[in-house]
Amino acid sequence: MKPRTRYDRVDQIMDRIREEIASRKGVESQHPPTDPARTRPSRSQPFPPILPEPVRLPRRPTISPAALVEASEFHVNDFLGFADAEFLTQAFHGVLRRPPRPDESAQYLDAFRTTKLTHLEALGRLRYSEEGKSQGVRIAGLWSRFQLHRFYRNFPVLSYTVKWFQCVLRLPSKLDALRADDSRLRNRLIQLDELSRVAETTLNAVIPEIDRRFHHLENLLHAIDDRFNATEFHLDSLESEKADFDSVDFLYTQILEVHDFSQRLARLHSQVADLENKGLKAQAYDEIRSEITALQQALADHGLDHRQPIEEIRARTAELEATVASQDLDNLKQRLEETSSLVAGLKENLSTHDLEQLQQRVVQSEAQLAHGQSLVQEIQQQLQNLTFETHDHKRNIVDQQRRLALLLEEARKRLPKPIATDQIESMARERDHLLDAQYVAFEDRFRGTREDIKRRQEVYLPYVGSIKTEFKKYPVIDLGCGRGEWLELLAKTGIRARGVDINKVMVRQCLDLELDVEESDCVEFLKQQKKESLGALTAFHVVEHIGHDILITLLDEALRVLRPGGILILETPNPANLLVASCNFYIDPTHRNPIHSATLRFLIEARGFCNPEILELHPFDKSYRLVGSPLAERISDLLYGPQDYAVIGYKV
Amino acid sequence: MSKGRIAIVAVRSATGETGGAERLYQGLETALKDAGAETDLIAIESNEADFEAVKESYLRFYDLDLSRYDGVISTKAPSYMVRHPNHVCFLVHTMRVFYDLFEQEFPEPQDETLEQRKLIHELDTGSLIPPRTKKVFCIGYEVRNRLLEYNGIDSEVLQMDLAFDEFRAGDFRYLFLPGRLHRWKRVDLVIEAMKYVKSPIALKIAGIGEQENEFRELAAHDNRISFLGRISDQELVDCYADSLAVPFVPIREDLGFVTFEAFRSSKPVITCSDSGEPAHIVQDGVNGFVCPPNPQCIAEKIDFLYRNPTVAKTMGRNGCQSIEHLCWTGVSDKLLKALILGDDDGKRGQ
Repeated sequence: MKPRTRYDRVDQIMDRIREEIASRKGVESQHPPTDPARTRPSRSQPFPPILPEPVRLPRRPTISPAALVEASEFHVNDFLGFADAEFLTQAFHGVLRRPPRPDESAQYLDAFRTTKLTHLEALGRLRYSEEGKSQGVRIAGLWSRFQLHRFYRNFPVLSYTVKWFQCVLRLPSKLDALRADDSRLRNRLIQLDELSRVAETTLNAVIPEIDRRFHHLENLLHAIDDRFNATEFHLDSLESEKADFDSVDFLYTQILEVHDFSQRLARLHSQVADLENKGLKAQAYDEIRSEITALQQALADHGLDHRQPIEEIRARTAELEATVASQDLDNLKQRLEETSSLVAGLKENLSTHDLEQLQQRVVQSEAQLAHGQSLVQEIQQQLQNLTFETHDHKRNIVDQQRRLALLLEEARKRLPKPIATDQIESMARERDHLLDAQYVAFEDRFRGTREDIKRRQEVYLPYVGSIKTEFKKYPVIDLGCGRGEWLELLAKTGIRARGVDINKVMVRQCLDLELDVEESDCVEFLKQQKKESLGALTAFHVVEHIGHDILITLLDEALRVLRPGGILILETPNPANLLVASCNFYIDPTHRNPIHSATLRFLIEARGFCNPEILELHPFDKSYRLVGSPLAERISDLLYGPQDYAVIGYKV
Repeated sequence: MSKGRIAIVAVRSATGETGGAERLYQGLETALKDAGAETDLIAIESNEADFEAVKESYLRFYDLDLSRYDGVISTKAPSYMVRHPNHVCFLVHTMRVFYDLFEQEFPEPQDETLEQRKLIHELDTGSLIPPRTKKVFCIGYEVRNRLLEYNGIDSEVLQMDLAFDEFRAGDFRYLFLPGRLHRWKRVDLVIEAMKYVKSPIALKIAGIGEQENEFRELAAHDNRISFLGRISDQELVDCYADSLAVPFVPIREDLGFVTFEAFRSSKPVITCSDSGEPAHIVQDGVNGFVCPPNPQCIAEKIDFLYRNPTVAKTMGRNGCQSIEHLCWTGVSDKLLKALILGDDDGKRGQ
């Protein structure tokens, strides 16, 4: 099996590595190992048994002593089949229900071996002894043969003659028996031979393993020896350390003693001084003197002079004091002076030169400010002029539109023939488009520049990018594409996209930019598309322009035309922002009503889109926010939070 | 039922450096103790200075006496050399120099080197299969794929949680990249990318390492890039919290805690297609970006996220959600189960 061989391989390699490392380390490895894990043998993996199973050699069957003790009836041949010691054990157990005592067994065996006693006689003696009689074991065929034996014993000559005849008579049958025995013996010999061969091969197989284990044990012994040596060495070093420690201890007590002595000396000195002052007698003085000498002697015994260190310390203290007094104070003074001179210098500089310059600059700035103010006034004037002009233009345009409407009406009335339906329709359509240019102007004014819009719409790129589809076959359609910023963004990323818008002027602008755009009503456009033909659908600021019924139709058509896995993105103003809901939403006269994000999310889910997600967008700049209190934060959230949101849904 | 006594065999680097693996040992020890198992963390030194040292390290684990434990969990190479009848491996990685980094480290290998690689493969494969190892788990898909490719051994991925979980989301202001400053982490690729980044966004690099001077030199002309050096755990959390995104572009990374830490802080991760495990975890366009390993592409993504903090926020939130399921309890449960089952199997086998 492969794993088994690989398993063995690991052991082989590791053994080899172990040898390599050992030989490389050579003498080094004789030293006690630093890491016990390196040489300690693993006890977790005990040696496997040497042989898969124990070898069993065939044996002659014997009756166990227990079985003999339990049986109460035997035949004499049950015992005579055995010989010598074996016979004796069997006979004792069978007849006397006990093993032979050592003296008994020695006596009987001696008798057997010197042919003084036959097995039959021995069995008889046992059975018909007092002990044997009390056990009362029945042995069929014993009594008659034992009595005959006894009889022969009493008449030796007769018995010899009878025996002789008996032998002659039995010779042929004995010969047969001998032959049978011979062949049995041969057979047994062959068996033994076979067994010896088995034993030999088993032994041969086992010897290397034993050898290996022996080596292993030897290695272990070495390792133990090493560690023992190491421990001994360690002990030695510990002992020497202890000795060191003791000597340190000793020194320490000595020092304490010396300290004590010196204190006592000082005390005595002062006492002496006192005494001298008091003019005491010479005797007392002498006594004290002698004590001082004794103490000095004791000090000298310790090999220390108490005066030297004290003087040294004094000298050092004086030195230190001198340093402190001389150096540091001087130093500090010097630095103080330096600092004050620096400060003085700074003061001087400031007062003269810099102040003048500053004043000059202030005058200059004031002049510039005045100039700026006049410029602003000028610009304001110009702006006012422009506003007036614009108003003029607007009035003119509205007037023109009114006239055009009148003219169209007039034309319709004056046509000679009744107008065909398609003509009416086209005229009506033309009428619908009358305000297109105005809406473009409106967008330019309120929606933001192209770049702004593009930057805002980049948000959606990862969403569209994440769907795995071939956009070449299944393009992205932007409903109400307006000025085509999103289309341009997609084109740059290499995603094929088409726009749809109802506004002719917008469509023309897009075509000028070479974008793929169609003039159509969004819902009509969707209705014309094939089922599952689009990768993604986007509509930015569209749904707030249409009624609820149309919105539902739009969602249903969107679900129909999108490929499985396709994505729908709808962006619209966020009524959760108070400024949007109460004011900014109504800047656009074509807006119908704001839609709550929860509503739109519910609607797309209800019409079959999955995993709807709301993306909150375009909060006011942070600088608008009020800060400082939780209330301010909350109000800021309401007023300056996200102005738009998008709902994103997936078709499964 | 008592869970018994368990040893986690960890590998201590001879050079004393610590990193993601050490955090794994800690987390694992805590998780097993929480699960009620008496657990010891046994860290043994492994030296990879040269091949002789490698062999010695292998032998050290092979000879480790773990007989007083009921179960053993090994971790990094060569800890799985241990011999124990109830042994499972939670593989961090094999010695990568002999595997996926071989060609990079030895562009023109000598016969001897090839022999050495063969030996290591043989030892690893032989040790990580039954009966030496009951079952192999591994820390991520990258490691699993490698083990399957080089050793033909399949293993179960056990994604673990962070050992340390204080991460929070704050503002979105700068790029943050923590980690060892080593060429395998490819910090230079991010520095290179900054040359193409148009936005005025700062890049904060935390950590120390072998290539620190090289990286500093490379970034010397860009004052948007700053090196923070070694930082504390608290500083790490704060740095993550206010970052816009984490550009983490290592080369064939085994795991990379950075990805998980960034996600826990709700930050998108920009990584590369050849970055290993991060490329398995980051879903392109959902919780970050997986781009080809070239500076322009990385720069584009950085600019994009700078312009669209809303997207960064959404992606970060997605990232946080995508690793919500990770927990240490799952890991300890699986390991304990494998150990106990393994024990039963072992008895039947005998």
